[in-house]
Amino acid sequence: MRTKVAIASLAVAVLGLTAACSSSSSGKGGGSSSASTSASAGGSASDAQKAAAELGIDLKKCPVDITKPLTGTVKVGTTLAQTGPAAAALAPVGVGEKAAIQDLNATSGLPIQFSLIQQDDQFAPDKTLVAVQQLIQSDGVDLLDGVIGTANVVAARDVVEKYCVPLIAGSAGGVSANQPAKYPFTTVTGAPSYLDVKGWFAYLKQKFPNGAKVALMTANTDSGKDYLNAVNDLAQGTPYQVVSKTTLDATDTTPPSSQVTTMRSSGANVLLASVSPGPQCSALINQVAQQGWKPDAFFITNSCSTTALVKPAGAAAQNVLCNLYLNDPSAPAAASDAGLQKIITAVKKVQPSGPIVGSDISGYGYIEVLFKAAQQAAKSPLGLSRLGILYAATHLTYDAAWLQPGVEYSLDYPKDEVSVESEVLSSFDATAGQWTKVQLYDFKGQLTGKASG
Amino acid sequence: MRLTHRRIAILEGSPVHIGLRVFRAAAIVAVVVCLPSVFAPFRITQVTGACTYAIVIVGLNLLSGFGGQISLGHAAFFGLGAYTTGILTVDHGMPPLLTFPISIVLAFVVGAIVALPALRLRGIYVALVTLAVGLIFPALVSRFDSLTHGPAGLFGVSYDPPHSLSYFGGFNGATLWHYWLVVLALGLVCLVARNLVRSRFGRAVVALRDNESAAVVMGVRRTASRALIFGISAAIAALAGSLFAVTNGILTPDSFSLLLTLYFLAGMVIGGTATLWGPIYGGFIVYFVPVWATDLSGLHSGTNLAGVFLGVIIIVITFALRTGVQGLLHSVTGLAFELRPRTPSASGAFRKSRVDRAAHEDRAAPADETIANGRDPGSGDLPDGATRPVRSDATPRL
Amino acid sequence: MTLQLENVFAGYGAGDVVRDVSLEVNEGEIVVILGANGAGKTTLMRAISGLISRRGRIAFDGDDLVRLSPDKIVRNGVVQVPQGRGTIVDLTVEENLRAGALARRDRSAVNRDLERWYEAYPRLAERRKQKAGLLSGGEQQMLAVSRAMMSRPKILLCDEPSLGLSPKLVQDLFDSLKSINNEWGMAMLIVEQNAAIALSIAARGYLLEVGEIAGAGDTAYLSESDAVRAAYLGY
Repeated sequence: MRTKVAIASLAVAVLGLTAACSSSSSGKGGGSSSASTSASAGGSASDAQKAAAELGIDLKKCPVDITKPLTGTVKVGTTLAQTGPAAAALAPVGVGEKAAIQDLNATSGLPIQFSLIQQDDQFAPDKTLVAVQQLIQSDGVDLLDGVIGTANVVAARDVVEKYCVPLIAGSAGGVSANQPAKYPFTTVTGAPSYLDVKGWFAYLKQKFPNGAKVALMTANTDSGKDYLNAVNDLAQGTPYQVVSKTTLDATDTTPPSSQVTTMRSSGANVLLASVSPGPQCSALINQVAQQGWKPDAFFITNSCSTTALVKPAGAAAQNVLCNLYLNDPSAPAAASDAGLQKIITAVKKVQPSGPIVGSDISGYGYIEVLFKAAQQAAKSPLGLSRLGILYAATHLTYDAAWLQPGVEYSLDYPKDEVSVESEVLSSFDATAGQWTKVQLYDFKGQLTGKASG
Repeated sequence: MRLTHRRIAILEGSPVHIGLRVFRAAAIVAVVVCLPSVFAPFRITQVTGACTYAIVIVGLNLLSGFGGQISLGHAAFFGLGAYTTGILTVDHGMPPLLTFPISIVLAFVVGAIVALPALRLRGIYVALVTLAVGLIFPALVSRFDSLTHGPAGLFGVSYDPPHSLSYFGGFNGATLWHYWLVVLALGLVCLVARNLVRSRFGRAVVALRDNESAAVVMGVRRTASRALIFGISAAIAALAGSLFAVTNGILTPDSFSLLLTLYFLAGMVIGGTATLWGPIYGGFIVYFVPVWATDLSGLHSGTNLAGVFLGVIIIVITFALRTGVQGLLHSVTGLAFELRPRTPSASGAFRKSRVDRAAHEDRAAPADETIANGRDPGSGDLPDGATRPVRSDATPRL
Repeated sequence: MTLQLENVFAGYGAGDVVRDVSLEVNEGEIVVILGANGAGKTTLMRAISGLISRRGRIAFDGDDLVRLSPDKIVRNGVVQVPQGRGTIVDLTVEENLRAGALARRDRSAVNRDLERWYEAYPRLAERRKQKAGLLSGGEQQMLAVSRAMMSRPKILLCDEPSLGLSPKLVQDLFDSLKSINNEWGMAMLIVEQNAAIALSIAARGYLLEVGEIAGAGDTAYLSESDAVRAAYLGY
């Protein structure tokens, strides 16, 4: 009997605990925790209101006060493919990012230091979502930088917007990833697909003024769809006829032999190709050569511009054309490019041995954008707050050493929402294993509206 | 391993026993309700994910653990449920709750259809058929990308919390809503599984597993029973898939690969096959080991380290802990406690049947049966091999 | 309620193991089939229960069993106690017994039958919640018989019930079978290697050699028969 009573009272106690928990949980998890906009030390509240209004941000919806200046060590999160098929192309980005953090923390002159937390997402959008959730909720980052891939940025941005964590310099070429009106916290950099295709057509107009038959291969991704739309758009009303269209899955590891056969037999003399960065770049080039097809012009997407991705094709890559916007550390011109040399030195401190490739440079660049934005924010009335850095990043223009000479980084919302609007068409020299410059195409001012959806 | 020390005996059906079971139920409720207020939203999301895995493993356990059939393609049914919900909510605007029964029924039908031809085959061929299903599914999803959005991914699957309830109204309302959806679904599925196993159908399935010809000779319908249990198992996996779709938001065909099936199988084995709590332990372990592995290893090769951990755990389980975590817990509590089954009371009506008496009259010698492997609770413990003297009232016959 | 076999052939695929077997079991009879190892006794039992391919005429109570699936044969009242007892080791004693009543719909009668068999075999009652695999050989045999009886059969087929039991247990088992036959009027077809014990309870018997019926007669005749004596009774 006594045991019965004991057990019963224990059960009652447990149930009481349950009741207590549920009443407290509605305070913790259920209640809306909004932070009021305090008058931050860096400027008046109305400056912040104006900036937020301009960007389209509702400050009341943010779980933290994004107008408060950041102090001490500020955590920055990035995601990239450290393992998986895309790692060969993208892992060096992580190296460049680490180099930039080290280098620029020392020289930036900012009252804060940035610390970098990198997460592996294997270039898969669903893994990017999980990684970003972890960075924001578990690691507690104040900023995100350099999330790589169009679909990956799209996957991450709902969380980014919800937690009001600015994503600076995401790397995405697809239109769907760059929609500042709906997603004010998500900013991307890179040459959009439209820019790439515009450069291709500019060259075609020069070389084949009377027209050409075009074969097009695109990846089965959002980015690939952008290329498809851009080509359809730009080919309209021109003598350039798209006679063959094929697609390739992003994760396909087999050589694209059937696609190449189809395109070759269509009688096209120009090949435009947008594949996913990775082994597919050289696989396609190899396949074209193996089938004995020599198109008059063979353009490949700027995602494949890293020399390391094209070199494995060897002699087959001779005269392949690509629009470069990232500065190329292995080009002969690199030796005399002072700004680029500084970056290379910084990267060598983190990776003393092994080749320095374009991805290293771009990784450095994504972080450099963050620092530039921070420096600009520090001098502005908004100060070094999340809002301040975001605002600065979206109104930033500078001559970036990580971009090709002649290519400028410039963002000026809402007029200019595309950071890179020029590119250097280059031709691959298989003997030297490098790109040689053909022509600089500057489309400044012609892209807003096309590239930002 | 024979234990000869005294253990605390708890009689089945006694007040203590009932009290303990009430306590256990109350404790479970308390944990489930209090968890959201103790953990950060991020952890709650992880618990939700682990519970989703646990649901699949409950279904898989019904099929493989209790039913003894092999399935190397359960991720396909998980994915079928996920994509059904994903496509219907995103592309056709159907309310998510409505898509759940649709995915359940669809998976049941597909599962039963897949099972029927496979049942005519033996052993490894059944495994191969399910393997084919598991491999075909991601490929089908990629091919029919006009329906499924293919490798580019299906984005934006969501199930918003009801705004009328203030509990779900806050900043983390969606997280809490998902948590409760999945936890309640898990509870429901466990209840269904428990009742199924204890039912006449459940006995038939176990009988088929243990001794097929004896079961058939008892009247069990072999093909129908096996197809039915396969369908049920697939339907449960699909329910988990639908929940996964709304809690995750993004679906890509790569998420439903063979690797995921292997995770589910590992979870079933690690938790304890053919037990009721095993799948829950298994689901949590298989979900969290990769998470911890990534935390431990910093940033490099988190996935590989997870593989190493899981591999080691499986090896340990196979050699030392065949009954899994559940079995381990059982043994540990068994060190201190012993549950004695209720026996018919000695004073009860033991009508001497004709069989007994007739046989007793023919035999002069008393039954001298040794007691093997068991104790008569009414008369204290006897070491093995001891002979029980004949009692005049109830003569043990055989 | 007669079980009739006429010109029955049965086998496992390539060739027939059982050839041209004809026999019958009348209501309330215990009929025994004697044969050495490999004579085809188990094959014959499997054929009657529908587990293997068979042809010929197998009729029970007028119904043709050859066309039926195994579970329908059980529902017709033809229930087998398989060789090796067929205990479901992972189910408890009680669950095994209830499994025997799978085909029945009348739940309260099932419960009453369960209690009746517990009374008849108290050892089963003691162990009702234990896993059946833990029972001794003799207990498992009683479980198998009780389980078969739980389905309220009209005829009981027993495949080598004495296998693996000590002589004393065998005696007890056959005493039980005889009791069941007395009390319930249950017809039985028992295949056995142990001719002596089988003939002690049976009324008639057949001799099976290499898949064919080699002799038939009542118990007295078979006991006297030189062939049987030499081969099976040992003298």
